[in-house]
Amino acid sequence: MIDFPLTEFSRKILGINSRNLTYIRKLNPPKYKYIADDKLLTKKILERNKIRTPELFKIIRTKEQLEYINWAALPKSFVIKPNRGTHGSGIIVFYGKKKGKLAWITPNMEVIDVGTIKQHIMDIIDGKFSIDGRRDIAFFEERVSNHAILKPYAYRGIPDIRVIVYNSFPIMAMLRLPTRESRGTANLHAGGIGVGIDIGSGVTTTAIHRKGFDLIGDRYNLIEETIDEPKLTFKGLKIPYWDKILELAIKSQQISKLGFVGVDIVIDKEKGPMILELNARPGLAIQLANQEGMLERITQVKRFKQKKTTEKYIAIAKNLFGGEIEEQVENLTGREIIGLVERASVSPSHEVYEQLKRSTKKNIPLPKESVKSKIDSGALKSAIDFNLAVAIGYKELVGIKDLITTRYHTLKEAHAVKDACDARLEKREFDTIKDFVVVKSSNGYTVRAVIEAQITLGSVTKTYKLNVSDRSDLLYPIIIGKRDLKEFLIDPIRVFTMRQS
Amino acid sequence: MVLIPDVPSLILNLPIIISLIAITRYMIGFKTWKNYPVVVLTLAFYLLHLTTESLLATALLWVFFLISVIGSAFGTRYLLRHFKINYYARIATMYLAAMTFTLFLISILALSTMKEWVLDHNFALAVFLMGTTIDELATLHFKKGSQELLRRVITTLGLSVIMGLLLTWTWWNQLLATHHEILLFVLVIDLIVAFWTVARLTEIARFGSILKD
Repeated sequence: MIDFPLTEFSRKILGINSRNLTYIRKLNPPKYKYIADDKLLTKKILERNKIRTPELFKIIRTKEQLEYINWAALPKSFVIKPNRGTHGSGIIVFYGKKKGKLAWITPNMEVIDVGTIKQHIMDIIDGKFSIDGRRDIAFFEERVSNHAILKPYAYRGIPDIRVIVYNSFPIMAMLRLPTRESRGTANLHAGGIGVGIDIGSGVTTTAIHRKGFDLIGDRYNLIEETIDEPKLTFKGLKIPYWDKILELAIKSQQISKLGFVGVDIVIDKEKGPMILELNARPGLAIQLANQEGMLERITQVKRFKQKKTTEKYIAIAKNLFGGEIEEQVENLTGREIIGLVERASVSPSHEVYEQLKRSTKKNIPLPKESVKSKIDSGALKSAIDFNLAVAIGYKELVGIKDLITTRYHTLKEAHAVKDACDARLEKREFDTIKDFVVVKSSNGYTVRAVIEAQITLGSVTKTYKLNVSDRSDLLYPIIIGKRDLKEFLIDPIRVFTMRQS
Repeated sequence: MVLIPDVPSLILNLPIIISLIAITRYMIGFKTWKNYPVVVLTLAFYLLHLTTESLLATALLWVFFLISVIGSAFGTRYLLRHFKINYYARIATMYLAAMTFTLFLISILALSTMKEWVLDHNFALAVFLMGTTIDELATLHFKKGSQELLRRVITTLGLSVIMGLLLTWTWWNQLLATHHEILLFVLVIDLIVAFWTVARLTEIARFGSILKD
């Protein structure tokens, strides 16, 4: 049964029809798709642009060439690949050599001799694994050494990181882990595990593994720990070299001239991240691994202009899609994560709004301003700019503007003004001003009026006590001090990340 | 409206079969193993029906011989898996085994009351067409694995039976022969499918969990 709105589905989830017609057809021209399908050509182009790929040992173009291979010279571990293979088919990983013999060991402990390897290469050349069934080329490539952090999670194979890049924006990422079932390959279709990665932090989130046979296509179970021994939890694993991985993914996409591409990256324990291959038709199961729709993310980045630096693309993606880990922290602590600068919506308190309606004798809409606010844990109290306060309905402030914007040289002088204001307050001369305070600043003292106003920051709307001061020459018309930050956790690298509820 | 009189409706059914395959793939989300196997298996069903003139007998013979051809071909492939032989030679051996086994079955059935059927020219043509799907099937297995093979075989067989029933439906064929404008309707459907970017029905089931969670 469908128990969710279909409109939400079509807004968030990228389906294969839309992927093909709207994105691949429009953004991936055939000649560049051809290059991405050709692993050797891709490797050549990337290396020309100083992007590291696993080392190439040997290329076999004809069956005759097989007779001239010096098998004894091959290293202990290597990989054989078809040049134009798909879905990881035809790839054999050899991770050890049988002592004293010309035979190598696969992740499944199968010992394969030269004769069998030759036969496999002949099958590759015949086009058995080729994307279009045509004759192909086989090649020997370096086997990447597993990074220590990822090694325990991968069953005798090399995990890779798939980053989907849309017009230079890394929009979604997934760690793919080989299992015993997948025979050492990281392909989800073959039984590998897909683990969603939070783009903002490079920390893993949710994980999926393929269910048994299902007529409608590959379906996946959400899992929490590795299938093979040792049992390890997926959540919270920090991917090494995360920023470098995003940078490599963006650069590779730009070099490939494919607008929508899946970049596969492996991490070598010594050489660091390297590009394994580019995929011009990336699969959509990555949405399940991340439990997020890709279409929604594409829509979010579409509004940004192109031709930015790689760092800028990364920063935007991190800001936009880096919320998954925060969400978990928020659920755990019951507090919202907030950046140093956020957009806040400010309006008068209910009491002031009612007075405004009474004074104008009209049913006016609630005055509301959306402004930049500085989250300042160094300040105790929150403050608002004089002009902004007046704009949202605190007209009384105009009458005492001189008093509250003047700088006083001595504390005594300031207190005299405050006492006079307090006396007027006692006589109920003010309806919207709640108090007066003396504040010391670098070049003297000021007397500030205190008002109460509603501020919405993220999903939190509450009444703040705000000191009114002249902030017209400052960047932020509102400061939120630590007295009002109890509902939040501050992330100092974030700015403008909260969505107004 | 009749464009050209007396055109066999069999020809007119071909674009309809292909359109239905496209709808099944892009709107429902069931993938077949390419167009060719569906068309030839449908045609095999039609030819068997010409021979037997009974829907039940046609369906039974179609399923029986299809399982025999595919089963014997894949059984041979399984037996040959450890031999280091060239790819196309392996496929050729699969064909040989499948046809030899079919010949054996025909010789047994020829001893029964089905003799006239199994020795009929149309019957031979039907089995021949079934045999031509082996190659596509083997390629699909190499590239997509056993699960995807099974999935696509089920869809292909299901769709072929539906198309076969359509091809043998007298009312439908008479309608098609006298109303060529149906093809215009098919063209409209083709155009809709051509620009269809909405999610496939199977995708709603596959990805719906994201929204539920």
